[in-house]
Amino acid sequence: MCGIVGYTGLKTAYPLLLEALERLEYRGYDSCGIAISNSTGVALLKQFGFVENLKTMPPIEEGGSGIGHTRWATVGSPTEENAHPHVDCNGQIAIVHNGDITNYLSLREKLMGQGHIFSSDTDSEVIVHLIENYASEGQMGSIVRALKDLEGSYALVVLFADSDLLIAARMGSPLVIGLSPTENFVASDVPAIIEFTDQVLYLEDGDVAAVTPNEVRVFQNGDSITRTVHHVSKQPEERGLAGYEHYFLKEIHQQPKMIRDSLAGHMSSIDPSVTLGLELFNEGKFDHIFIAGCGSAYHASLIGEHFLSELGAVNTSARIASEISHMRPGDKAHLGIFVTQSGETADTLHAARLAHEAGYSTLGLTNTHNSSISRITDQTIYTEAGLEISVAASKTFTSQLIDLFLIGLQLFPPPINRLHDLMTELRLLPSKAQQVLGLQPQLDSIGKKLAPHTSAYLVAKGINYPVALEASLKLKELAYLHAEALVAGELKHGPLALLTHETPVIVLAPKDDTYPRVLQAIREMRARGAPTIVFTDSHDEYLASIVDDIVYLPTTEPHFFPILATIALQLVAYNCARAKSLSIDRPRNLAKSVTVF
Amino acid sequence: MNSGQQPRVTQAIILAAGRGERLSVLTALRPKVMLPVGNKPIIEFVIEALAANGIRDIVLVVGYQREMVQDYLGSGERMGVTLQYVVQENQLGTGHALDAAQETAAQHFLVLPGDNIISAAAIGELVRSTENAILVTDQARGDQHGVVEVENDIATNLVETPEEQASPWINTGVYSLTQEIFSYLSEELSLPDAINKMIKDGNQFSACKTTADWWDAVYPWDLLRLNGLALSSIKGECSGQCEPGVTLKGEVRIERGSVVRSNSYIVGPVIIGEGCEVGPGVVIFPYTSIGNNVVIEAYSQLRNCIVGDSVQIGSHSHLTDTIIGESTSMGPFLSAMSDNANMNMNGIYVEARCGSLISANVRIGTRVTLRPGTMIGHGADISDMKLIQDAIPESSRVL
Repeated sequence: MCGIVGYTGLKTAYPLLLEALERLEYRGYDSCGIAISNSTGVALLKQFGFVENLKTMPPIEEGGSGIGHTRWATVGSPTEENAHPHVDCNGQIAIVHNGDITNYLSLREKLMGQGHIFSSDTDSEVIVHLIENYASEGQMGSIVRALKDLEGSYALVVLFADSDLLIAARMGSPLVIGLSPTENFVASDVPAIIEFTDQVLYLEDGDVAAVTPNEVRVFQNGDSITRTVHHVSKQPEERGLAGYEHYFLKEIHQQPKMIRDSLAGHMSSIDPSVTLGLELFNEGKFDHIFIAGCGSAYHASLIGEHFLSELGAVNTSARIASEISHMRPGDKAHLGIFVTQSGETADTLHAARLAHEAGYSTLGLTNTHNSSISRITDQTIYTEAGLEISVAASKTFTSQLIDLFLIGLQLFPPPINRLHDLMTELRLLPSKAQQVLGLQPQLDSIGKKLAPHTSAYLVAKGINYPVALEASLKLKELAYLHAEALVAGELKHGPLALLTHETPVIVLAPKDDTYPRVLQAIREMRARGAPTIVFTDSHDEYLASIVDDIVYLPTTEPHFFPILATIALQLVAYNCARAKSLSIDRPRNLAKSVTVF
Repeated sequence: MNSGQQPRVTQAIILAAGRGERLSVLTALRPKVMLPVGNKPIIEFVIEALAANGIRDIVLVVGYQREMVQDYLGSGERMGVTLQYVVQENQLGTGHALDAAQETAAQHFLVLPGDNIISAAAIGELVRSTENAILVTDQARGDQHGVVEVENDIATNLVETPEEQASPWINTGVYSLTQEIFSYLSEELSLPDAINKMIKDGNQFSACKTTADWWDAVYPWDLLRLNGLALSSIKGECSGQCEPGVTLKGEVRIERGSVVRSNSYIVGPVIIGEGCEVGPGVVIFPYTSIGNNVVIEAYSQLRNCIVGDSVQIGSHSHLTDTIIGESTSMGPFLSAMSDNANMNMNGIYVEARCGSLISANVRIGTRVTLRPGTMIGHGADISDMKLIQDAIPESSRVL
């Protein structure tokens, strides 16, 4: 329930809201809607599915104030009825909501008892009926009163018939206000409105704001307060498919340049050192590090854990951010690194807040400037991967890996000659990544081979196990293929029972010190007749003779093999999804960033 | 500015699908249009020249290694143009390439090869010419180019492989055309053949004579000349860092994140890309372009070279008139000197003054000497202490 936006000003609101909603679509695309206050009262348009579906309808041409919403369904199925905005019984008040109202069932029962008529199954609709209930207390008064009844989280924008006033309120879900001389904006994030204004203020929990075309007033507990106005800079971004059929493929192809850009200026080979320019790292040693993220960012965290653990004699662990529910008190020698592409992932933000409150040093790693994570953590590193439109992550994942490598090399520089070798190898990574892209014909045939199957397994060991996890996630997201990552040594403890000649197995088998055990696993799987596809890094006729397919990736440092293997497997997943003619850039039921718990 | 009655042409179709066979040592991984000159691919000069003439609707016909073109140029937003891509699966000829763009072509459009550098002034002259026109020049050698026979500024015949100097007017391959050309392309794979047929059918083609800049790279070493011309207009600026004791003379451009270490001596015009490390004590002489993420170790000297991205040059190396593809790494004490050399270009020996032509992803050991005219193919691996001459095939190992 996920991206919200509001506009009040002298222009026609509808096209501006549509444009902002398109930029919020990463938060969900189950349904969308816009409400405009004009001479007819509140004009409402809702659609099932993508924002582009709204564009096919006749626009609301009149009205300078409005609100919009793009939804990722939590309570109530993804239907047009459950799409926001929701209106009260008389059609005089409309709301859009991002968050989770935990006591909505009891409120709903009570309101229905009082005669309110509900038209959706959502938790959000109770809010508008509550406001209606208290209407006698005035526009602001009714909302303040209604908020007192709510439990849970919300970012809320309320619109009234025949009025240019928007009222915004925040508790637990992000909300920003964009300022301009004759118009003002409200949105879930800055990128949604950065095309229109570069002056923003961030609402804090408990804030209620009254927004009109020429004024923004913020209240906390009934008192008028001042929130700092920030200047935000627009990051250059490239939209458009640039000749590719899908954004996912375009973004896979941007990786060599992205890696090159990420490394530029951070390495010095004469006095071997890596610098990211963060004061946080100058303050002293860390004696405990954890890295947290969700989805692909968690897989990147796991690879970071392997890398940092091997570099430094420091206890490093990766954690799924949504599994962090409490944090033992610590001090600044504890470092929490929070990885989130959008900078808005609710679970990761929550974990970062807990770590911050527990007294830890906190470092955000995100791809989105001006995002929420940067306001929670002590410092933030931007991955500079550029806008990623495909819902399934590709370049942002590899950019997280590069930055985690650089963080590791800065925090725990290995002996000088070893560091020199690692940096030499890092410099060669962009062109090795380019060589992996050149394997497309072979990876296409592998993707097509997987397409008819219902299950596949990915087997790896050590630092490549998270690569198997990430690749299985790609196969699930893009190709709707049940794919499971398995640790090579664990096969014999159960999963072998699943293998038949109908279950293809992809094995990551670089010639590092894990190779003997992985080779053992390959033999075990061959013995059960499973078709095996092996990714390795140097020619091996024996290995080629015992497997069905063998893909040779460029030779690199064992720590950096995950980057090359990830790119190859992104292409496998892409080719598999393409062979099945699926919606590659926007898979069913997903959102790019999940902004609710 | 608009002299004629017809509306001004607003669209250009750039032919960018070919590999560039005579430059094959450098085009193993990239099409000819993506070869860098002054740290920019050739095609970017073409697009900039079009944009300077207000032509922002650009169709690119891509084929060989097309992803590399798409990845670099994207949708054109960075250059203020709108790029559309059409794919020519098999590269059968210029007419065949143009035919691939039929559906996206406007009524009136320009056609340009993407692998020649053309100035905005030259395009401007064609824009002001008639609808059917050919841009011709007498400013370059004709032996490797087609020519146009011209009478009273009207083209009478296009000759693709002139046996003798049939005409002083070289065909730049830049045309102003209309939709009518497409009805001839179904029969002809070559664009000059199709135009000859149109002329036979009574259509009039102007020969638009230009004296403005137009440069082609026929052979790999021609890129050095193009590089020099591209660098001759750069402005010196240091966005990176120069340590104390660095001497910069003339126009030296150092991009973001690069470091030039103490006692280096650089004489411009020279461009150093992003994230490079140069020195200490490195000497760079004019007309040298150094790509991104390049490392040049202590006490090396470069003169008139093109160095690709992510190249590593060992200490005490000496390179002149040499081109190095991306991600090639060279050990210390490499010597690649320049002299007149006879090079075998697909069976024909061509004499030119040149250093070495080194492709991408090559690994060269320590104390290797490359004789003038050496060509090293993609992915080759050369052991220590070798003396190399002539051509080393791609992916080969010299032990």
